[in-house]
Amino acid sequence: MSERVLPVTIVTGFLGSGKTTLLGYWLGHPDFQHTAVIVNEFGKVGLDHRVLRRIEENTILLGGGCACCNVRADLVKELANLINARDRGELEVDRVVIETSGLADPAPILFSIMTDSMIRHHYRVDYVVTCLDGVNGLLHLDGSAESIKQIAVADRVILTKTDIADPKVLARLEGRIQAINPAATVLRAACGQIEPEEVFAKETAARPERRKLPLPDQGHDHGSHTTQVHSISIGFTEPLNWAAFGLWLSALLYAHGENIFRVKGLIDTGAEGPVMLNGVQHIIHPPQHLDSWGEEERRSEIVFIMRDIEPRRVLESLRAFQSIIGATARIEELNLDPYGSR
Amino acid sequence: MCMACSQMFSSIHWSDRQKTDERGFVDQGELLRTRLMKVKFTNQVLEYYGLKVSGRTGGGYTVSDRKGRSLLCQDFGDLWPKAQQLSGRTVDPLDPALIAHLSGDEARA
Repeated sequence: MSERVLPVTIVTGFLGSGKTTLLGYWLGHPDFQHTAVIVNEFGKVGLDHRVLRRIEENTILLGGGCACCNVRADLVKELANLINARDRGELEVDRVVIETSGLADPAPILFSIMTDSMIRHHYRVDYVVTCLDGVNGLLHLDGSAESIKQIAVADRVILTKTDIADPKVLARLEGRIQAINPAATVLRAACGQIEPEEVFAKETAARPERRKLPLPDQGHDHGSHTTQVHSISIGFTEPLNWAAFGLWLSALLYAHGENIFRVKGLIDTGAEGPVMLNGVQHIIHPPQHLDSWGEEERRSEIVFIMRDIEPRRVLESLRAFQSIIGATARIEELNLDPYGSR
Repeated sequence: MCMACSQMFSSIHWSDRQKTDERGFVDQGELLRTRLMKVKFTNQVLEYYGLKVSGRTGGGYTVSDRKGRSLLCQDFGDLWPKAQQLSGRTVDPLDPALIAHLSGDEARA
């Protein structure tokens, strides 16, 4: 049964950032011959593909009223249709790609796939791929909260139009992406072309890489949005109690989930292998308990990407909770506030 | 599925240990241990809000206040809205007052 679980890739990015061009290129690849594509809108760039579904964005607001925990009814219905068609033998499908509209928030898509009582057994989200316009990206990041959120939830960020973009701008964009989301892999695509193998390659290190962040371009105004988005990387020298950590994170996400764009990391729970944690706002992917650490050094490290939450408060809270629950972990500040809260 | 209310749900929360064996089965003993541990720790936190939580047989939790009012929680994640409903306050791990309370406990210990 589990081998029938279909991987879902979400391709997002601001208006005109090259999502469709990228997707069009991928669909010519032999690995994508049985890919079903779901789009919200037919853009200027046409997609020529056998299984192309268009859905009207239709969001059901749930009682809680939180922006991320909405159910995209359109999507749930379409995904269910795909599974039914496959099971009737009408359709051969081994992957689904969802191209979001440029202003869409990817969080409700993740929420819908992971919480629907039927869908979650048939699909798993493998990657969120975000396209960022290499020419106009800085404008998008400065001017739109959606654009920043799309970067924050990404596993892969693809800088597009690098063939016509200024190399200095590209370098600045890479710095900005790393500052917002240190856990994402940044790739470049010229003329909308990047081989799927590069994007879908197994991550070399499951641990979010701790890069030496370039100092923010001092004196440059990053605009009003990013200044409130912080990322923090927390390390623990000793194994964490998984039950206690689960309690803390679950309560934290309930109280502050809307402002916690991303939680990602590896956790040493004292078991043979680590637990891989990956969350977007209120939604946590089912954590994977791995059998061994493989090549990785045995230590916990978790990256938080947050808006309007002072990173030090998270540290203080973890310290207070550790003492009550008797876990002996110690917190190290690793990547606190990488570009300053200016 | 619950036969009484015909609701489709599973009471396994992401924070419940879900390591499966080679046949794909969840270790029930481990699941139970994690749940018991969470109940114990959560009670230490909820004490600050005048609440108490206990595990229910077959999954889920019950949260109650000192007046004896109680609410059923479907899974661990459902605990927080129910706790808020009973106490009128959000359980917030970043709340300086809660942090002070927990740290004070440590100082007294």
